[in-house]
Amino acid sequence: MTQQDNVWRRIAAGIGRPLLAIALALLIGLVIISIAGEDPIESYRALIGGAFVGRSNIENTLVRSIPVIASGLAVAVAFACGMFNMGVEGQLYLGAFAAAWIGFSIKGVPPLLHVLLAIGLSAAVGAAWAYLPAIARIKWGTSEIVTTMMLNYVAQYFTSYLVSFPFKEPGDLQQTPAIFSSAELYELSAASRLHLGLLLVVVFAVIIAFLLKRTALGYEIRMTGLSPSVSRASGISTDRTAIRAMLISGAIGGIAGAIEILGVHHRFINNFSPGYGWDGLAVSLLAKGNPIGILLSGIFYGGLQSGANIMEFATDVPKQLIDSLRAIIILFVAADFTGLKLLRAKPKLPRGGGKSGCKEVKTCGRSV
Amino acid sequence: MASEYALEMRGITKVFGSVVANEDVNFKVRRGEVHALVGENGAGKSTLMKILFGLYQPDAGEVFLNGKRVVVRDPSDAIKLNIGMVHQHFMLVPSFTVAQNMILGVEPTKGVKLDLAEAEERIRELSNACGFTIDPKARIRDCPVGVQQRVEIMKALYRGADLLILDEPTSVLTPDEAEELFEIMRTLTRQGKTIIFITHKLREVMATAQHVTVLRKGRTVTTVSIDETCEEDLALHMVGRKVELYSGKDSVKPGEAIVKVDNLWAADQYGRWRLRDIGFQVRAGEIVGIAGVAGNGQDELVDVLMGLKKPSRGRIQIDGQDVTGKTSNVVRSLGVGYIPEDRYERSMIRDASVAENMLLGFEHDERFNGFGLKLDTIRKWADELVHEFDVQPPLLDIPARSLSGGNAQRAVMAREFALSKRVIIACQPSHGLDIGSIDFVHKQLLDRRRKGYAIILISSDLEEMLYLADTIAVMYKGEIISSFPNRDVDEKRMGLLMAGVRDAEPEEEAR
Repeated sequence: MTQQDNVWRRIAAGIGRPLLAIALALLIGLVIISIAGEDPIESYRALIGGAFVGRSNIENTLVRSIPVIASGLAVAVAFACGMFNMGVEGQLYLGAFAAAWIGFSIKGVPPLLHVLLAIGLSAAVGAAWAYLPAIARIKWGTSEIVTTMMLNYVAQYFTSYLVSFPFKEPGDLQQTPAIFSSAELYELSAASRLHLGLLLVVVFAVIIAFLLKRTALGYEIRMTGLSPSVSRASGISTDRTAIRAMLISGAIGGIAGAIEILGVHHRFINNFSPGYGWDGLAVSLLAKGNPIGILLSGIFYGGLQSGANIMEFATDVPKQLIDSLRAIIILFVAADFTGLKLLRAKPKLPRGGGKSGCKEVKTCGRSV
Repeated sequence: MASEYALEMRGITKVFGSVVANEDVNFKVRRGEVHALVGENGAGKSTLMKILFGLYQPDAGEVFLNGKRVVVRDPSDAIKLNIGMVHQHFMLVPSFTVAQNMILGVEPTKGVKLDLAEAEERIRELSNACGFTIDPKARIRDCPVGVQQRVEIMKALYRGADLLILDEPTSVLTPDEAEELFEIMRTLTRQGKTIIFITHKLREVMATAQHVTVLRKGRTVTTVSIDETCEEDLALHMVGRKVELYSGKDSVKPGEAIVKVDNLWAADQYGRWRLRDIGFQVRAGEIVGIAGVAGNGQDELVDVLMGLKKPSRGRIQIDGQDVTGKTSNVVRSLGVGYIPEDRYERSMIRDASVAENMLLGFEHDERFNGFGLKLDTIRKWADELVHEFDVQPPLLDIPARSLSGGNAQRAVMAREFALSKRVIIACQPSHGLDIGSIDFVHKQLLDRRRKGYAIILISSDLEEMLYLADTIAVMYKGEIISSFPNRDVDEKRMGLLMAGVRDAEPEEEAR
């Protein structure tokens, strides 16, 4: 048996289960569509065609997947360390606002620098927002699952306030003034608004993959996630490592928001995110936290979303059906996850944190 | 005719993989007695009791209750057979009341309605019969530990237990609470209940039991009446008699003191002192053995030395540097190798690969970390270690959990020896290993001793201690009550010391 065989077998084992989950979900969708009296084959053809066939459809899918992929990467870094960052949505909102603010309030900055400034501040803001729950977890043992989730509301409503009062553009809409063109991300296609963010998330995925697999920090993050007690006894400062993982996670969450603003909306719009952070959680789960896998599952998720619109248009099947399919996929994937976790945790934590953690993931999968 | 024995277990054997947990164990308990079951950690007490309670199935052997052969498939069978078990860690719901906990799973009902009043009445009766009072309406989280334990005992009685297994019941109690527990045990046996009392504390055995059975390495060593034994005898039975003589080692002239520990005190989370005024030195080329019955502060001492627990007072110096209260990464960066007792809690990550496990503690080493980790160099190095220490199978990509105990221990030693510069702390290094691996571990430790390492050996295995150590320090209740060179050590004296009887003051009472 060669090394090569091994690698392929591992890849096959890694994607086998998510694919099975997807197949099962599509099968259930087939049954539902049939019961509703529609033609399932026709509907699926419209769905898949609408997502992945033809240049403009593919581009729409990609536009839609960019923030989801970035959010997925954010979730993955924290999860590798055993931390559940359910607060990507909030980090994304704050990061988006920070980027927009840099974009519309500073004039005359060279284009590249302007974008970097915007992304830099959004990363800092996202990291700071993730630092609060991380430090609460380390100091007082507060469940970061709960705190990150609750801080989402704080972040979202805070940006709502900012965009409704101090930074509101005159007019009827709750939005800020447009950012200067120097802060906009380069547009790759005018029709679909596909922008440079696509390249950015690919680069980020590679960086995160390198960080986790090939650096000492990433190694410490993963080992801490697998066994905090052994890691601590082996001289890894687990508290510091967990905080770093959350800071990185929060920073990427903030950047996810910045990319969406600088690339698509070119201004901050109240409640602009249809739940990218939550989708990120789902794609991260589907890819089992593998950064390259997140690229694929993110595009798949984006495709479901953009294809759903086409399907609704072409047939009588409402696009909400696709929402349920996505939830079902996550349910299957998460069920596998929790099953494994429970078995492993059983001797020590009959009612411990691990279990409730996984439960949360499942619930959020459903709410996506 | 009913047998005079409430319980007889005959020829019980239980094997887990390559480890024999129980081998042909015979265990008989008379009706109406307190029967103590003693032995070191890993001697097979819990396995035997889990078999009795139906949590494990024996590979061979039979169980008789009151002379009748029974098969206990699971705990609900055990409860039906009137066996009750009080676990070391309580299985109570903190936010429920005493009564609610008591009836959990066997709720009395009136129609479809829960009949709590009836339950509360039964609890009052039961507690009066046991000679104590308890408020059925009190919430568990407001009850002291001693009371929670009584609730556990009553839970078993409420389910009709005649044979009660108490698994190290005093480990969580204060001395006063323990005394009260013993009184309850006496009351219960007077009412015809039979109690199996698992403990390491020999004084408690002498104070409460009528008979005692000693297990060692999965086998029954002896069953004796309390009148015919004493604490020292029991201690020797538990750890095994001296078989190897001190002659097996080269003589190494110890060098300068590398580890210096001075006036060290540490408390546990409940504020009880677990280390009292510990002081010792370990010189280069010397093995200092910390002996004693488990639970006398050895674990806490290691935690404090390794920077995993902060001492309240005192000073630790390693290689001339003060590391008191420093974290484990500081201690380890000074080159302290650590071979822990509990492998999967301390030294091996089950779900990480062997290669990843070998890197623990080396991830910042410049040989392996330049711009990113040098995976090829790491693999090559890990491969060498795995072969040098003969880890089987010698594969780097399998998860560590698929290694057997002996091989996992070899992998840990390989890494820790590579990491250590001058100091090694080894805790029960041969615990749970087969003879071949034990020999390997001992040879490796002696080899390091020859190379001038300062080695601290924590072991409750007397044979191992006498074979390896140059100096022996005996811990009892958090204190080093005696330390002496390992020369013409007399077994009787070791036994006395481990039972807490100091040299030259043999009648001293434990505080």
